[in-house]
Amino acid sequence: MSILIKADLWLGIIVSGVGLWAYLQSRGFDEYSGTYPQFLSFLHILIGVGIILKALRKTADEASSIRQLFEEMRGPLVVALLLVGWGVLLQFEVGYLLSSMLVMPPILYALGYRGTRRIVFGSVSIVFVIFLLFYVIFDVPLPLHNAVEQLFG
Amino acid sequence: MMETIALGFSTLFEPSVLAFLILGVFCGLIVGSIPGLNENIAFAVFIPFSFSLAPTYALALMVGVYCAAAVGGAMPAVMIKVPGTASAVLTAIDGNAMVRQGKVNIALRIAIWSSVFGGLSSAMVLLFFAPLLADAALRFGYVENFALCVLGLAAVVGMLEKNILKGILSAAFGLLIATVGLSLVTGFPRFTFGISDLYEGVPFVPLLIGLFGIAAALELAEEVFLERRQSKEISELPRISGSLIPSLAMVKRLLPTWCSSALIGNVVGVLPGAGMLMAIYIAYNQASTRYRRKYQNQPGEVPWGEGTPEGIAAPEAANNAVVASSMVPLLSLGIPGNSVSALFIGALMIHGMVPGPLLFIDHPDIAWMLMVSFVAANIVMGPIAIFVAKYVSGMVYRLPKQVMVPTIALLCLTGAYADGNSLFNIGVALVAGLVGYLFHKVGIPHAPIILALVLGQKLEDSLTNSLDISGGNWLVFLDPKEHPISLVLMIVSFIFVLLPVVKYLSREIKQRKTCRSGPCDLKDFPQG
Repeated sequence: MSILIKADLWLGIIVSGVGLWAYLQSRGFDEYSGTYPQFLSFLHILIGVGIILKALRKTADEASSIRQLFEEMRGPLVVALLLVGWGVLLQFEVGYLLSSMLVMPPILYALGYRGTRRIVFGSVSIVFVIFLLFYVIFDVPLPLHNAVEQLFG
Repeated sequence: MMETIALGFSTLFEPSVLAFLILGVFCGLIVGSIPGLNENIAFAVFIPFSFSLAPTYALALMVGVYCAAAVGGAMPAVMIKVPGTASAVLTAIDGNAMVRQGKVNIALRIAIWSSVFGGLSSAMVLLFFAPLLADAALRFGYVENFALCVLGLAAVVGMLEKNILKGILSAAFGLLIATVGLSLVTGFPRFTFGISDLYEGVPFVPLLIGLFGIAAALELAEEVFLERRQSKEISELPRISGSLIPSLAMVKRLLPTWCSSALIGNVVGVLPGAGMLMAIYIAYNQASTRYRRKYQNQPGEVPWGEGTPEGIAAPEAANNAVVASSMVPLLSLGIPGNSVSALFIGALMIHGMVPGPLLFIDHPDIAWMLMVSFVAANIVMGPIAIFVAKYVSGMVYRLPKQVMVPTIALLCLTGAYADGNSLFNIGVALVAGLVGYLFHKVGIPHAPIILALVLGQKLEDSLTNSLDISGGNWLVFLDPKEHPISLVLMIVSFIFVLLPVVKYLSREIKQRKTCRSGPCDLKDFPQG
């Protein structure tokens, strides 16, 4: 196994990178506000280096492979991407009901839920139950599309 | 004193007041068992309603919700590993592991009755020891608060055995996120990138929802994809059947854990600002030490964190012990113990009452009714929690996993939005969910990050002020004359941090000795 395939090695590099970035950012703060974040950034760099050294010490069998991790994460990342899409639709004022109705079916399909009727019924049920709970019972002003908002008064 | 307690009971036992209390318990269990909703959101919704209710009705309802929400939060934590409320974070670890072993009834039984025990203990503390404990808590200054924060973080590090470095990383990352926002000292914007939504820091509730709820939905999705890839039939979530009444053997075994965790919860609860999270971490750590010493090596017992009864009992007894005891400083001194008890101030003020010593003089019936309500709510909570777990919450968890994933995700994201009605919160929850899922994949524990987020600002604030007051003297935290409480807390923290290091070193030495004396396989030894 190549050294670069060890997942912890990449974790260490990312953590050190985050620490370095935070350190450079916090150098721009004033003296009183910057000391504490600088200390924490330095701690991140140290921990990152520690993780790298530990990853290098591990044998090929002990270390988890970055390829295997990506393989496992592929499916969930598709779901995450669809959820991000839902958030983007909300930002574009598509409205809670419509954007949820658009995103739920592909998520259910991606997860292996089959049958057009089942997917449509499942999506409508999920969205309406949650909508009723928050909008009607808990009185949360969910962002609605103008047309829907007029319908609900 | 007995006369005043009787006055409280006589006010409470008016049928309509009692009905509102039971309604509150029922609503609290439902609210708690829905991931994304918590007692803060429920209270924020209920407060406007309380305008139109008599103060006794409104307060009875709120006490019921407050007591039951933590128990409700344990139900999804146990069943689907999604904590309904933040205080059920640790219950999810052992609770869900036990459910995966097919012991769903035992897990729920332990969670419910540990909660009842913790809740009743704190109701008694509120009733009998309120003035005494409030007086002790009042002595906590910046120095003691800093030491308390250090103790909280040290307790988390003390719990970590598998990978100390990743645990410390989790805590350090939480502390770094807690620095986002305007600096407490100078008001300088730190890591805000000009986004005004970040000036008050990263919103906590959406962050929590993302780290636990969205990450849990993605973990569940991974399970579904794995089962599909292996052409397995998608397994159903376990069903609740049979009794949820505790057995005598269970009570006998868990009684010491209940007592110690309830004690921790009561002490932490009475300290303003300490909160449920700190209590559950300390109690969980304490219970792990006892479990490893007494049960772990016995046949039929599992390793800590993989479905132990004590792993469910300790956090549940502790978080419910915080509930009523957090009302001690509020009722005695007018200082809220946590965010929920702060919302009680709002409800009291709506009805023209000021919490504090004057409440006992001006409105003794209300003050004592409020305190005995906690006792009554915890008594009725057990049977109602069984009903909700078996017949109400169970219906939600019977859905197929493919439907559960988008349901949890949408519930969590809508819950994140509901906390402040902000689309920005949805973004925070999504990012936190992805980070939480990645953390899970690379073996970084979630628990330390949450505690660090809770304590971060307080830690920096108390550290800065302590050093300012002492003229930059770092030894102020170890001063036995001026700050004996701080010294004790620091010593305990030091022991907490030292324990896993000593264990790690002793394992290394043992490993080397064995390797020197003959052929050895590194896999035989646990990696620190």
